[in-house]
Amino acid sequence: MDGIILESVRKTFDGKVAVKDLTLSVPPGEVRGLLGPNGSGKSTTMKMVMGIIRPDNGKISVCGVDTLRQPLDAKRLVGYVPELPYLYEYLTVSEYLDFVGTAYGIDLKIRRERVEELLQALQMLEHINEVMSGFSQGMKQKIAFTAALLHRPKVLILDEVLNGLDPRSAKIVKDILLRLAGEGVSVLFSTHVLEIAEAMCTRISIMNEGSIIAEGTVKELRSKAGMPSSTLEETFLKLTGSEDTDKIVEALKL
Amino acid sequence: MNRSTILSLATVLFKSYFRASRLGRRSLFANPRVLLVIDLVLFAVPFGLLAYALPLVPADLRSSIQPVAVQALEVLPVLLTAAVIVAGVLFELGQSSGLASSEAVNWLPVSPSEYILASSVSTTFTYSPLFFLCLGITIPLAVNFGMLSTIPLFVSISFVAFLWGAVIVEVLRSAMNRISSSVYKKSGRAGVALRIIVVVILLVALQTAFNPYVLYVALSGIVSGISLVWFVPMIWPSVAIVSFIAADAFRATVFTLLTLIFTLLIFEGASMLRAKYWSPVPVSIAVSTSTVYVPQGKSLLWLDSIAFAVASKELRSLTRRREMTRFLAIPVMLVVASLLPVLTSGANTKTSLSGVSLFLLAEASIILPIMLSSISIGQEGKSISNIYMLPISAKELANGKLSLSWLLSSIGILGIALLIQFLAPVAVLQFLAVLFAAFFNILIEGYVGLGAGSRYPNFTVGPRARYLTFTGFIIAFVIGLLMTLGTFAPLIMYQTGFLNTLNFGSIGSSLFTIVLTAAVGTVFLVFARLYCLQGMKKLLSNMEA
Repeated sequence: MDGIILESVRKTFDGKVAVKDLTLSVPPGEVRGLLGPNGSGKSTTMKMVMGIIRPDNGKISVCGVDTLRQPLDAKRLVGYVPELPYLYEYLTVSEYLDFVGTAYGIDLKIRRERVEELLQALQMLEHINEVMSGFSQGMKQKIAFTAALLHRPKVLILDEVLNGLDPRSAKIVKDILLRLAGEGVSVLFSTHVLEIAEAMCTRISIMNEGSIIAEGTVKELRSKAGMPSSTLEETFLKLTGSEDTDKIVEALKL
Repeated sequence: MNRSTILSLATVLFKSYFRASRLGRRSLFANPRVLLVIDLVLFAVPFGLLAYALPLVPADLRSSIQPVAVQALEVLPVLLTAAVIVAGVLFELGQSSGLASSEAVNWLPVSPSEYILASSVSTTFTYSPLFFLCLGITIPLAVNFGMLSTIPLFVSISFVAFLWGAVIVEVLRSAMNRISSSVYKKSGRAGVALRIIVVVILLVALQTAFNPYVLYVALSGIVSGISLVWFVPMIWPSVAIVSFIAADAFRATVFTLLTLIFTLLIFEGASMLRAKYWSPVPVSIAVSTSTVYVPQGKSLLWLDSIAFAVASKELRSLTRRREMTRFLAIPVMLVVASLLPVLTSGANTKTSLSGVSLFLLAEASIILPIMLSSISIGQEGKSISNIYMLPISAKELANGKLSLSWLLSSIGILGIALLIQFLAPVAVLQFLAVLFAAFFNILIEGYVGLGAGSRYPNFTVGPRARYLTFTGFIIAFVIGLLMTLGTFAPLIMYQTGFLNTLNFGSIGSSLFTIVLTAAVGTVFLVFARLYCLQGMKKLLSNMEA
């Protein structure tokens, strides 16, 4: 099976375990939701899949390519949108996408066509010659998403990709992702908006303190939590042991 | 105005300046109490030394020191104002407008006047060591030369002049922020070019103004011309002191009052500008036909398409980012700083230059490439994540990053070499031998700088970011210096006449120097490239979390 495979991956930062012996696989055509509280290790996991952060132990491959041994080959197969896209803000949109396209080795003609069609879809074409320093978070997110799709990746790693997007753009991004999954692209997708995860993801993995504590379809997760008729939010809170939120709010002297 | 708001904001601004700048967040100097101790030491040590030494000075020497002491008291207020303005402008030029616009103070309930006062206090306190050092020198001079009664007026009016500098910086900051944003937005590429030119001219002018020779001439002019330019507000504190020393009580009172009135006026002006141009607006400028596509598979010289794309990005970073533009001024500043003392020394230019030309070129061929290449990693800031995400190899990244450093350094070196050759011509072959060594050294130093930059990057984005850790800076310059000495060794042997003992004749010696330089340079080049590529591979293997 190709797609994304992580086997017993571990990562520590200054002695603190961020990801604990994580094993995860996302087959082609699957949209896998990666949920978890802040600091649970989602972003670190995604960065390790991208080959940006080196794991202490374990093995990671994308489409059969070992990300540790052949990092450049692996990166050519993956599109990544980080939680906070730090673009080169002194470049114009076209210059930035041209830089990204060149790095992926995309042919000039195809590059131009792809840039135009993606920017058109995300309503950013009119900004193509603008320096990005004055862009809003949503606009930067759209450019990062465009950059991730430019080379027709076989794997997409999306960390909070819908952050800052207006409803129309969010809908377009969701539709694009579902269509790409239909074409066999593996998507690893993190979000804190559980309705989006429920609507989009084939399967969901819930992380807490560096480990996957539950995995399956939404229905499987509900039954695992012993709450078959609950919402995903209630299931999530139960599984991550943070269901006592009411008491916390009540204790506040607001 | 709320006093506690002003004090807490001033403390925050002071701490953020030190913690975000080159000194780092763990710096001892980020503690206001430590700065107070430094102030005290800088005041007490020269004060103690001069108070002890001055009475021991022989009478004939005292008579020649006395006019200098009087001049120091008269000129100090002007100097303090100018020094704070220069430091403040340099600070502002090194700050990213994006950062400044996202300062929390922009949405907190702080009035423009409160902000101006807090920021001025913070700036004054930041540069307070200069103030206390000056007082530590001038007060014992005043005491020893019978100007004891001047001290209260001198200290207070010098402090006001010092504060002026901080308030004027606020005026300039507001004007620069908003007005330059508007110009930049409207004029696109022309605005970018204009900003580069203005910044380069400004930095070179400031640097030239603080050249010891120029400073001496200017201060002499101010001292003798104070009474002639009494109507210039910047001179008023000095006029007050001059009048007091001359026992002209009326004139001293008038100019002291004028100084205080002007303080209020510039404070009000700064507050109004702050109210109008509240915070910088990071603009999204449009540049026509910005699509400069790099054709796939094509290459330019040694650059493949990816390295070329990296190089283009580097050039845009250097020209479009306000905090980076200052680095473009450094080659020009270096040329001016190197040639100014030689050209203004009054001695024969040809004789002076021929003695230092080799040193000047060697110096420039270290500083320019090392500086430009060593900052090229850290200047990426958090955007370095783009490099990690994309399939860019260490070699491609190194070639792309170095090409710009090589290009700019080569232009700088060629400029200096041609200027020296024009002013103090030498034989063509000898000129070529020197140029050859300098260009070889640029290649070597570029690799050394990037090697250090990739091992010791400082990704901190903040005011006057240095993009390289202090350790990296020291290591780069030590390695660079040793390699420069090696590369220039054949030329040094040639110039000292050692190679002539080999009986090659004039042309033969020059050619032998070139061959020897190439041989030594190639060895260093291989080592420097290895050092660079290993650093780049290490950098790309794992991103700092």
